[in-house]
Amino acid sequence: MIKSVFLRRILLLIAATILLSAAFTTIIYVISARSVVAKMTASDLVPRAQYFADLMSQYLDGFVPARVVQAMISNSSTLGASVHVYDVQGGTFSELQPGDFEDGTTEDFKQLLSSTVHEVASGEQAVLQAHSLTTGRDYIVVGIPVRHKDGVAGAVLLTKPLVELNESLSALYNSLYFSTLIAFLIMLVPSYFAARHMVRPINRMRDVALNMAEGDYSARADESAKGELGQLGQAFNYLARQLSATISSLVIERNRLRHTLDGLGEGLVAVDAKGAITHTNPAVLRMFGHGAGARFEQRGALIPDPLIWDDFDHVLRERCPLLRTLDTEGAVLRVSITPLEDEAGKTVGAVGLFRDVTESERLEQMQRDYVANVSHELRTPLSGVRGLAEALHDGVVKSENDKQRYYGYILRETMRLSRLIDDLLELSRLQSGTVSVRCAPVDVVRLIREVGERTRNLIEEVGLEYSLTIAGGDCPRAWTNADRVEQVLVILLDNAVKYTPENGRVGIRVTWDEERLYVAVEDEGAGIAKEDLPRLFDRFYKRDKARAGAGTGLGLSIAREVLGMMGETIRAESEEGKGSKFTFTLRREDAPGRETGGPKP
Amino acid sequence: MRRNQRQAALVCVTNQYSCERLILAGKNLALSEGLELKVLCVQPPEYASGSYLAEIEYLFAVSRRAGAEMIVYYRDDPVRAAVTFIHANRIAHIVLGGVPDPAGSAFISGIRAQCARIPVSVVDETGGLVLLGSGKSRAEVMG
Repeated sequence: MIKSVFLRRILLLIAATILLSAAFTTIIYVISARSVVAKMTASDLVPRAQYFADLMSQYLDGFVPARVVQAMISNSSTLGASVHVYDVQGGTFSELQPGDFEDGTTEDFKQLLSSTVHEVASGEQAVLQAHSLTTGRDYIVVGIPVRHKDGVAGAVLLTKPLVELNESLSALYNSLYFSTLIAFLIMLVPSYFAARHMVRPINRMRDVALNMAEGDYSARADESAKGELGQLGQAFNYLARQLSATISSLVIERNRLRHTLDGLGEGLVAVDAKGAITHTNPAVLRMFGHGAGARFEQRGALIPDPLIWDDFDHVLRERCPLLRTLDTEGAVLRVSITPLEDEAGKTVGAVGLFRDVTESERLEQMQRDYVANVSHELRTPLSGVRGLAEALHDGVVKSENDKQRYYGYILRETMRLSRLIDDLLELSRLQSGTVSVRCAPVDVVRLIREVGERTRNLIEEVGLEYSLTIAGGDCPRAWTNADRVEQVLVILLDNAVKYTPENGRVGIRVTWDEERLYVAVEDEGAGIAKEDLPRLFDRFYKRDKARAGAGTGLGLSIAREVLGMMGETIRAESEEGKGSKFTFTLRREDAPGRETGGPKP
Repeated sequence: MRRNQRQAALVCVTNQYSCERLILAGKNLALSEGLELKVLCVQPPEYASGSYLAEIEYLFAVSRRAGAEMIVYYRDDPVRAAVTFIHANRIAHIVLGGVPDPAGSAFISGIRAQCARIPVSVVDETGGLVLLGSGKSRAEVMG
């Protein structure tokens, strides 16, 4: 059985064409052959009928004996047809016996002949075809009037069955059947191969289309065929090239988008119209503590908080974006969820963007605190100055001594303001990273001695004892910046003196190991509470609020920034009631692996 | 709506820095009535691309300091958005910004019509709360 539908249809078409041709040929031949054969037969019978009519006329004149006429009537083979002679009334002549029909007398034929007789007896020649329902045969009837003495004396009818027609039609049928069968059989094989030849390029195009559907865009159809099939192949190959180019562009775009999304610092989650996760990026996995490439059956496994998924569902339902905050362990996230729509405006999903705002909120809080602290620190001396100035302006202060004292207060507070602003600017410069430090070998002990000498008087004036302790041996030189070390020492000594009561001791101790020097400034002050230690180096942090007016509150912050700039550290050790010790490090000049020369940024 | 969700006071804000005072007034109300505090801002959809972002971020920070959960919807119909949120979040008191004619405000009227059983207060110029319908300040109402 031929599986190809196309091939079967072509073969059926060829068979149908052959059969239809045969059928039409038969029909046309039957229609046309009948009249042709009838005409030929009639043309053959008319002169014979005329001959007999003339013979009858001669008989009626007495020139031909009746037996001659009777012999012709009785023997149809003489004229090649059956002879019927009638008088004008339609009867027979008394001396003449009618002949026999081939198939005997039939009523319908009799009826036909009587009507023809009347027509011929009126003097008209008649030629007609008749069909006998009884015998099933066709006949030719030729009627010639018998003229006698200037009138019509009777009619002569010759009848002949159209045997040749039937025989010729039978031969035609047989020849058509046979020729049709021969033609069909002969055409079967070439038709099959011709149809296969036509179907082959179509099958190839089908295979190419299937390969393209599987992702192989390199396959090509056969363009060599002539005519429409070749054009179809060309069009198909053009389609394949265009599709391949489009797919390539889409793949590139998809990869570009994927890399962009993967490179985002913000987390991204995309869901489909039903809320199921379709895409995530590495950032969102990190945000929620998942490993790279993690996959999730349930969306709650990605983000446990059901509130966020309620928001996704809300966006899908209402088709409007929203923005909210999500608190996770250790982070604050700003979440923006936006619906996705297709070309028809139908919602096909939603995209959530997760931005970590923890640091920005912390910085904002720090900024607020900074502004509040600076405002407070500035306001305090300004309030004092204002009060004093108002008193002087209003003339409240009378005595010159009091006035001088007030002027002293104003001067002191303005100097305090000036120091505060200087410290703020210094801290700002240090934190901006624009300050450079040039390091060099420094004799730290000599530096400390110099600073100690300058501050000794101040220390002893407030009733404190000062000491300098150097660990055993020659103290190695440090690779540092002498001015900055002095700055730190002054800050620490100033704090130590400030917070040590009278008769207490303030000292400096220097030790070292193979890499670093350790310079410790110790005091016997009230000490620092354990909970204050972590915030000791914050700006404006003052552990003793009662001494709030004694300094700017920026000293330790500046010390930490200065040391950090040089790659050094500072730490505080203290216990309430037992004093404090601030220790900072300095890199040894001869430490292994130290970078030499050049300023440090 | 989450299970076991406490009742809350809702502050409706716009995209202005001055809405901070509404949040602070709402915080005081929530503290006094033992309610959670939520802040809702409904913006036109075209603002979702980043309009008024600085103001919105500022209000987020203010809400956070006040211990409030803030959410921003980008919707064409602010009344419907607010009413849906109110019904879904067990809102027991609504705080709005004051306008010269509360009855003429489509938003206030819409909220009051669809949330008739929930008290609505507006914040006046001094930062105080006025309970709509009573004409009295909240302090007066609370005695």
